[in-house]
Amino acid sequence: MRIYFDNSATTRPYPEVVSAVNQALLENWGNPSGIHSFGRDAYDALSAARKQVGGLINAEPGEVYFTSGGTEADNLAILGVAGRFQRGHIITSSIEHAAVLGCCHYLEEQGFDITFLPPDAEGIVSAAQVAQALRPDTLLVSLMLANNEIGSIQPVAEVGRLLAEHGVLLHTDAVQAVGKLPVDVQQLGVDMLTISGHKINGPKGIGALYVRHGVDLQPLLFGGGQERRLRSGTENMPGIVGLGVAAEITAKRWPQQARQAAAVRDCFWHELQQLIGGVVVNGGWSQRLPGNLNLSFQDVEGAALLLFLDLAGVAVSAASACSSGRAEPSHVLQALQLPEWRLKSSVRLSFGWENTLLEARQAAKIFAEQVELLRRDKA
Amino acid sequence: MQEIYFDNAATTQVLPEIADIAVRMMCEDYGNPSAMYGRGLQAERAVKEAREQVAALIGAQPQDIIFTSGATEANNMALRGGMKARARRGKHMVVSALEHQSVIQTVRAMLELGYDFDLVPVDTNGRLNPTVLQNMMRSDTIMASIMLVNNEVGTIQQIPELRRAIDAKRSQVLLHVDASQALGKMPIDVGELGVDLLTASGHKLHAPKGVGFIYVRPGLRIPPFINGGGQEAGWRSGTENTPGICALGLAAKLAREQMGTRLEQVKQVRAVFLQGLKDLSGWRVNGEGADLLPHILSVAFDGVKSEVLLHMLEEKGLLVAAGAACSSRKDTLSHVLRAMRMRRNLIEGTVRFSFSHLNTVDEAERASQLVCQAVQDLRGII
Repeated sequence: MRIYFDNSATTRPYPEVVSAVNQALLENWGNPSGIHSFGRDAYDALSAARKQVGGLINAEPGEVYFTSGGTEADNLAILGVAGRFQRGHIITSSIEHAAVLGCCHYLEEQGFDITFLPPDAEGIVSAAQVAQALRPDTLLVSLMLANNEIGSIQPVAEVGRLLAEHGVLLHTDAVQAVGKLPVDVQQLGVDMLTISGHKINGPKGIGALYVRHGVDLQPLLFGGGQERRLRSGTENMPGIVGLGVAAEITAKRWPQQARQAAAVRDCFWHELQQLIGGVVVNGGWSQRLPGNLNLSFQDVEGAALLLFLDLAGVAVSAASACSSGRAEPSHVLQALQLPEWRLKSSVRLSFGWENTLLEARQAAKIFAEQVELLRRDKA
Repeated sequence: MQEIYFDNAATTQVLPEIADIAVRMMCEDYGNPSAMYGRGLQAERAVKEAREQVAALIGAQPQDIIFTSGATEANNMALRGGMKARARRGKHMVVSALEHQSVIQTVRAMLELGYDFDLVPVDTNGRLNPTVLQNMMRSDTIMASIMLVNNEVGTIQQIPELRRAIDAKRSQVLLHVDASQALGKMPIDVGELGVDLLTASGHKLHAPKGVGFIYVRPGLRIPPFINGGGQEAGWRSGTENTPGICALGLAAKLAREQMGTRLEQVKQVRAVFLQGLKDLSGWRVNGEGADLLPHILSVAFDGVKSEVLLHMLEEKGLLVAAGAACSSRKDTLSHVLRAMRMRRNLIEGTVRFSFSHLNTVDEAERASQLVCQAVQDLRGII
């Protein structure tokens, strides 16, 4: 039996998503820009998906723009705002996803000023920090709704209320939060919000950016003028209908799914503590995504543990999947100013609604065995 | 009534075996290819195979292929990346007047960044003239963008000859070729073409929408266009669209294996269709004097408005287009046909028929009858 505790890296598409994608591939494969019936059928499917995604985050369908994924959506939001100005100041946190950090570093080279706010020991950036960093030339704040490595939930709604008085745009990367927390663009007070399909049991290669009516962004992709001129390129119809279905299902089921993920996590953590010592949680507990657990093991090399766990049938990751090929320690854990051993021995577990308590107990046992093996080798 | 789909230049039907691999990538190998464990490695292996398949179709090495969300992204990346990579040598680029909007609009947007471009004119058959191109090269020209096959008319450009003309005037000019319509439909060898950057998409080749690629010549480094996790060896961030990528890989493999038989089929469909129009008067094939890809047939009908004709044909079950799909919702005259200096009334009477190997001779016969009837009816009204 293989146990998959890496649901923050990617998730398995819902069967309903797979059938919708299959239908878009085999039957409704027209180009939505075409003026004949094939085009119109595709266009109808596109509109339906926009409505489904809007419904998930309480946005109007016309405020949803499809992209090739969360990364492109983050790029579009940040570079799109910056593209409307020559210079300016942007505030973000030092624990953002690489897509946001990458854009900010790029803009820094282009002459923009970027403030990277450090989190507290729990992995949270406060609205007060944002308030303090605001300048007259601040254009944008980009603050993730929940962190992908330690699951820390950021006070985005509070920042939204703060910025409403200042006329500064607010973007949030909600890729990890959607499906696990209430995500309502009105309550959050955000101007832009990023979603990814494959984190909510939708397909890879598709995402969306919510852009509030009236917010003017410079496009990232120029061409045929699709997505109301903001995102050119023939629409990824299989991906879009897949994301639509995933959004609709997620909107209905997420509270229960989040409870299940939290229950499995809590069971795993409880069991593990019974079995071994010398293990600590990175990040705080109170404001944490229900399915997230980030652990460091004393006297264990994280990379070796991952390998051993994989051979023993448990899939987890070191930090975020997209940076796992690198040897550098996680920028998120570094931002928490953890001691060296905790950086090197960290493992991220991300539980999903498909995981079971039985898996939690089995995995705890396997973890304990593998950790002990590694510690014995070292001793 | 079985509809006849002659709009394959807009998009193509996904082949069942290609849909199967996309579905398999969602149901079984759904891991994140960047992950270190088994499921991630399976996905990574599948992406590697797709890269090899795409590379083989264009005579490239796998490591020179970068997957994107489609040809539009690939074209944006090629132009902006190429220009930035050469910015120290100049700011000017030359772009053929026939290019797709994803090229034209990108270079327009780059004017704001201080770059400059000129449109290279074409003759009445849609051909670029090497001497004209050569004479447009300036001392600060750093890039040229020329599509291999035009999407509206099907004109094939003589890329190797144009490459030589550029090189004779100025060295180290980057050549970008948009091969979206050509990929898998004619032999392409990046070495023979002499291109630095080549782009294409999957959905013109019976793969799904939402995936494409850019070929970057070995030794050339262009800055990434989308920032983030550093996937695609740092060239293009974002979790890989594994279903799309693997589907594109298979589409490339099938196109390579079946290129000869598919081409014969398309040629036959085209010939039968044209034969069926023989008794109709007052029409001509646009760009007829140049080499044309058999898959695309642009016909100008005298005394007919194409938008009316399109609707009549659709009612009878024949699906065609006036021009490029992505601009079909706008009321502008085709920039391609204008560049070929066609008269307004002929542009307004132009219909694009575009074929795939899935079309049959029987469809071609029926379609030609429908077209003859509809054109005669319309002319009768006027």
